[in-house]
Order: sequence, then structure tokens, then C-alpha cells
Amino acid sequence: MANKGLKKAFFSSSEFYLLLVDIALVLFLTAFTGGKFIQFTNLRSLVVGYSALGIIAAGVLVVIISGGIDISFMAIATIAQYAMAQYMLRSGGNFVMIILIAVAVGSFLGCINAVLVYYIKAPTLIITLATMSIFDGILLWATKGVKLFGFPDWFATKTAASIVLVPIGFLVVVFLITWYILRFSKMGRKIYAIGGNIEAARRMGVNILKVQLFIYAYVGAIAAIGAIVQCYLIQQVALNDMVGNEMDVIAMVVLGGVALSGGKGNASGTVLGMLLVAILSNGLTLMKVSSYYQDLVIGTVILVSFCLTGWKMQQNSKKASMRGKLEDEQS
Amino acid sequence: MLPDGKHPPCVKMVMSLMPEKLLEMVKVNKHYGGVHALKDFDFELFEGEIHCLVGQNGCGKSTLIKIISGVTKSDEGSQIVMYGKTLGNIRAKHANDAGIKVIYQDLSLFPNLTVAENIAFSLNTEKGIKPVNWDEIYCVAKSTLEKMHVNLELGREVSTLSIADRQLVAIARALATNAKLIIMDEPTSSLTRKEVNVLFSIIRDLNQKGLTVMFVSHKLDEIIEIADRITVMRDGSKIGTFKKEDLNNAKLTEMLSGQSVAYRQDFSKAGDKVILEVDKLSNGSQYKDVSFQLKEGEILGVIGLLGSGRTEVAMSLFGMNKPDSGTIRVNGKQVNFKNNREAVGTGIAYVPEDRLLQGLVIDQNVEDNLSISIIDRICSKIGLVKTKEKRQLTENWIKKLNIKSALPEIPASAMSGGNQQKIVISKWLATEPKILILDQPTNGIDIAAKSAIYDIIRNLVKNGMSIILISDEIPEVYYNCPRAILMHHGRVVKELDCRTLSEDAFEQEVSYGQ
Repeated sequence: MANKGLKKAFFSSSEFYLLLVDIALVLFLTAFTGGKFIQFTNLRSLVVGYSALGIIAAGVLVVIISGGIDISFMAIATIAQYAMAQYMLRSGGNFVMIILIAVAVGSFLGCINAVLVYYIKAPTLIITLATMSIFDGILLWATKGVKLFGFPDWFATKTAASIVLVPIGFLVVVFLITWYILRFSKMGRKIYAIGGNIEAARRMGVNILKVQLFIYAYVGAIAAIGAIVQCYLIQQVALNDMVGNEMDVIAMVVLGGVALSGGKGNASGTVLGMLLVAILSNGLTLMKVSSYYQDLVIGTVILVSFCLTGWKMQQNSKKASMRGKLEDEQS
Repeated sequence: MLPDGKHPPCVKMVMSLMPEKLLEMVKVNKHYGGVHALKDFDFELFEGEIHCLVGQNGCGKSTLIKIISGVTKSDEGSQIVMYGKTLGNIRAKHANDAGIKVIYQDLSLFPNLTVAENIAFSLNTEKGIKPVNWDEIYCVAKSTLEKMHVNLELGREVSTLSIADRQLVAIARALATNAKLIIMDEPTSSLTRKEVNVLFSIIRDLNQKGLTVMFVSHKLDEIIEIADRITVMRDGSKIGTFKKEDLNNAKLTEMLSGQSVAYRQDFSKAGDKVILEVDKLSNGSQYKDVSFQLKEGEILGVIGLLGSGRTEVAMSLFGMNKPDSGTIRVNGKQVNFKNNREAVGTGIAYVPEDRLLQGLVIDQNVEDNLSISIIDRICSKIGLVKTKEKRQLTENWIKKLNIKSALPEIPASAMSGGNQQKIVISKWLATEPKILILDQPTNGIDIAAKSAIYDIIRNLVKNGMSIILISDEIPEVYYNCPRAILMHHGRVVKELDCRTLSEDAFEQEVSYGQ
């Protein structure tokens, strides 16, 4: 019975529609570009272009579910990137160490966000806007805008396989971990609870500070992992490589059916939203649509999808009220 | 109990008949700054009783609940005995471990989560890193609901449930955490009579199984219906604790307000002119063939339960719910409102049922709330608000409606329910309407504020205004409206003349019609 319910829920969920849209888009682009879209070179550029953003979307998903928002994550990612790149340039380093360093830096900066969010109690948008500026300022002052490159061989060697497999591997692992946390950890359920009704969560004995520390540290850590992948793919670290793409990441999450008001959304939706943004942007480039118009198209897609969701929700609530009336009549 | 803990056999027998004290408070005081919220308060709660707490807004009920649940500390020198253990103060952990659970008025549920997860949420707050066991969550939720003999879809999101069902989820959540005492703060304020009956039968059933219930409410008849014992509070002091048998509605009313009888029939004579005429108004499944007339200077009662179509009709008269067919005539002229601005322009005002959601901008101050409906009229030519006129207007209404302790600058959220309602009413009176529609104007406000609002209504009709009073409280309609129509399932079932019927006959007609 539960299985049947799940199936039914899947077919009426927003993920199902998103999946249809994604598939339709792939088919259309393949047909329109004469198969160019599914050629290996294009798929590779798709992965190179969007895997880092996609990874980071997993972290942003968590903060949005909690009813907050973080826009400082790209600044955090860049700081983590500089930290780990400096380490590599100085002492060669190894794979495990750079992950540890980047994640440590990212989650520490995230904790700063969490503490501010908890104690100042101002909207998270304002607080992370402020920390974003502060992090950017520190970066500029500390690095003087210098680019870092020329990394040790173990990091700089790329093969045709690794350039696809490394980012996809990270992407899959990060999303699996995020999915597991959200669905099967007590912390994950507390995050949903906070997103739904923070006061009720407090009354139920949820330690809000602890949960927020986890949330913002997680965003920071995931942003740092995205930064490593980004650095691996383009083999340089610069101030403006990641900063400025915040809204693309948020668009991925929001298109994946996550309510900005909090409490709703899941990892699978975000994967589909991420694919939608990635496929759409890549497809537009393939179709030789000028980059001037690309933002316009993506903005329109976001608007239309929101109109559809809003309309669907209205329909659902109408149905619910009709059902309530019917039950009333019968009793 | 004797100090040595041993009892002679005969005493023991008496003891087993006497219920055990769950909680005893002696001379508990609480100050908030300069406000003395609880004054030498003595209170006893027996295991297995249903104890009601009544008192007007601000009498200290919430303070008492907070002290019992350990959210707030009482002043030094207060003595509290819980299960025979003397405590200076209850800590939240004490209360929780002792099974004291509060269901707040807002229910504190997670609207985005399922029924099951809401009920079994305490599993998620347990210590340890064990993964969430969804089977266990569903199992706990299912068995708890079964214990209550309630049938709810476990996988449904709570945001899609009715308020009544959400209430049941909140009770189930308390039970799932091993509750011994459930404190319910105004649980019936947004339930229909039928839903209240369901709630009461569940409470009684749980009570039979040994649950102690503390029940806070404004609605006196409900209190008398459900309680074993009743504690009456006024201004932070206890007036007394009474057995249900020793009280009735009138006595309670008198004790609560310190004045007797809030209700009296005092009808002013309506004019002959028909100001509003509704003919065969229908709208989909909401209501059908609704016809009635409203005369100048008349209060017409519309009595009907939540969901009877009463609010939907009112919204149509106010231009916010376009009817499918039928006509509305104002002053003999047919109107076809496209929106509520047109309705306001014709002289109709509507005071909504839910003042928190629809009637007030709760964080803004009194002045801004009052002037919003006529902001165009107090603007200069280039669209700037004339602040002096705004202030004058506000002060004028505060005086006219006797809104106590109201300053133009304080936020609406800081005021009592009764005063908030007065602000909503004056906001619409400021538009100088000819027809005023009041939807449940006294919902959730205390008796003194109630009778103040009745006085306002009576004064308005004396000055020629016509009023439609929508309510599901029988005395409210009976004592204020010479004429009332009864709505049920979207139809006007009958018209009742309150001048000729006795209150009992009126009540019978209403319950028969429903």
C-alpha cells in the first residue's frame, strides 16, 4: 500500500514534471543540433562548465530548506580555494590534505555565518550579504588579486577520463551524502522542522544554534569541495572564477522545487533543477544563441515554472477544500 | 500522607478514594517588571481531572501555564509541589520529564511535515546518531492515533489538514511523548461546534484512561460542559476553584468580569427603507439562492456554522467573491462589484473574521492600521500623507470607541484581542460606510470587550447605519439582532424573529435548522 502511495506521489510531484522537461529538452536539443548535443566533446564541456556549481547547489539546498539563504558561499569557496592552492604550491600536498584544508576553511567560515544568524536574528540574506562583502574584501586584501597556477603534477595531470569522472564522482558523492542527511539523519529532519516552524522546533527542544551551525558549516564545506573541483578543471585560482555565479546556483535549487520560504524540497529535485539549468545554458550556446539572450531565456524559464507551480498549488488547495465540503456533507 | 509514610488501614482506604495531587502551588507570585502578573496564587491539580482555567485577557492565565511548564520562573518564595516533591521552581526539563505537555494556541506543528512525523517528532530529538527509522515513526504515530480512536492519513502533509485535524495531531504528539498532563490553551477558538464535540469526546476518553487535562478557554458553556473543576482568575488573583455542579454560565460571567449580565435585548427601531436587497444570489458550490433584505438602521443576524456559506456571501457583498447569478441592490440600484474598492465606494465595509490574517497589519502601529482604509482621503494633492490629520483621526477613533490603553504609536500586536478588534472596526468605520458587515466580531475576545463591542454596534445603528452581524454564537445574535437568517449548507434555511421568540425557542430553531 505504501508502495502504491509512493508511486502515485511520484507521478504528481514536481520532480516528475521536471524530469519530463529535462528529457524533452535533451531530445529537442539532440534533434535540433543534429546529434551534436550528445557528442562526447559537448557532454564534457557540460560537465566542466557546471559540475562545480552543481556540487555547491547541494549545500545551498540545505540552507534554503531551513528557511534561510546564504549568498556568501562563493566567497567562502574562493577563500577555501586560495587556502588549498597556497598549500599545494608551498608543500606539494596530497589529495586528502587539500580536501581537509578546503573543508576546514569552508566550514569555519560557515560557522561564522551561523553564529551571526543565530545571535543577530536579522534576515539571513542581509547577514550573508554582509559576510560576503567581508570575505571578498579580505580576499582582495590578502591576495592582492594575484592568480595562482602551476600546481604540482599529481593535481595538474588530467586525462580525458579523469576530467569527466572526477567532477561527476564528487557530484554523485556530495548529492548522495546530502540526500542521506536530509532523509535519514535526525539533523536533517531538524533542518526541515526549522524550515517549517522554527518556534515549534525550539519548543520541541531542538537546539537551534547547533542546527544552524551544522547548516552553514555544511554549505561552507560543500562550497569548498565545489571549489576544489573547479580548481582541478581549470587549473588556476582567481578572484572572479566563482564569485558572481551565486544566482545560477540558487536558480538550480529553486527550479528543483525548493520553496524559498523553507521546509520543502529534496536532493533529487535539486539534481533535476541543476540539470535543467546546465542543459539549457549549454543548449543555448550550441544553438548559437548569443550570451546576451541566455540570461533572458533562463529568467523566463524560472518565471514560467513558478507560475506553473503556483497554479498547481491553487488547484490542489481547491481540490482539498472541495473534499472537505464533501466530507462535511456526508457526515 | 503521614510523615513516616505508613498509614493505618482505614486511612489508606480513604486515600485511595482521594485522587493524588499532581501539582500544588502555594503563594506563587510573578512580576514582569512593574506588572504583578500573579498575586499569591494558590492552585491544586489532581491526577485524572479535567481542570478548566478561565479569565479575561491578561488575567495571568498564560503566565500560570508558563510557570507550570517551566518556560518562566516564578518569583522567589513561591512554593510548588509536583508529585509530592517540593520545588522552588519548575524547570522545563522537570516539566517535560514529569509528562507535562502544553498545546499552545498556535499548535506549534510543522506544516511542511507529514502527520506521522509531527506526531513522532520527539524521536528526531533523541540523543545519538542513529539514523531516522521511518518505520518506527509511522508505527508510533499509528498506535497513538489508534489510542485516540482517530483516523488520519499518516502520510499527509499537515498544511493540508483542517484546523480541527491539526488539533488532533497536536494532541497525538503530546500523547506520543508520554504525557501525564496536557495543558490546552484555547483549543476551541477556531473550531466549529461539531469539531468541538469530537475534540471533547476524545478528551473525555483520554481522561478516562488516566490523562489529566488543563483546559483554558473563553467560551463559558464549553467550559461547563467539559470541566470537572474550574478555577476562575481575575487580574492575576484567584477568585476561586469550583466544582462544575456549583457553577452556571451566569455565575461564571459575573465572577469573570466583576459585573453581571453582559446580554440584554435592546433593539432600536429600524427604518422602513430597504438599503440592501439580495435576490437569489448563487455561487457554485459555496451558496445557492440566497435572498434577504436589510433595512436602514437595522442589525440583521446571519447565523450559521463555519462552512455554511456565511463568509462567502459576505465576501460577495463586499466585491471579493463574484457570484454566478442573482442580484445585489444597494439603495434600489443594482450593483455588480468587480472588486472591493467599488464596494467601499458604494458605502459597504467588511470586518473580517480573522482579524490577525485579514484585518490588521499586526506589526504596524495603531495609527497606520486605522488610516490605511482611507489613506487616499488624508493625502495632499501630490500624494503625501498629512500626518497631522492622520494623528487627529486616530485619536478621535480611540476616544470614540474607548480603546483603552491605546496610543497611536504602539504596534497592534501589543494590544489585547478586544482592542485589536476595536481597531479593525474603527478602521472600517473611518470609511463612513452605510452598510457594515461584521464577521464573527467577538471571536476570541473576553466578555468585557464583547459588551463594549455590542454597545458600539448599537450606537452605530441608532445613527442610521445598517449592520449585518455574522456569528455562530447564539446569544450574540439573539440579543443584538431583531431579525436573523439561518444559513446551512449554503442556503438560507429560515428567517427568525428574535423579538417574539424566547432564547430557548430561538436556540431550538437554530439547532433544528442545522
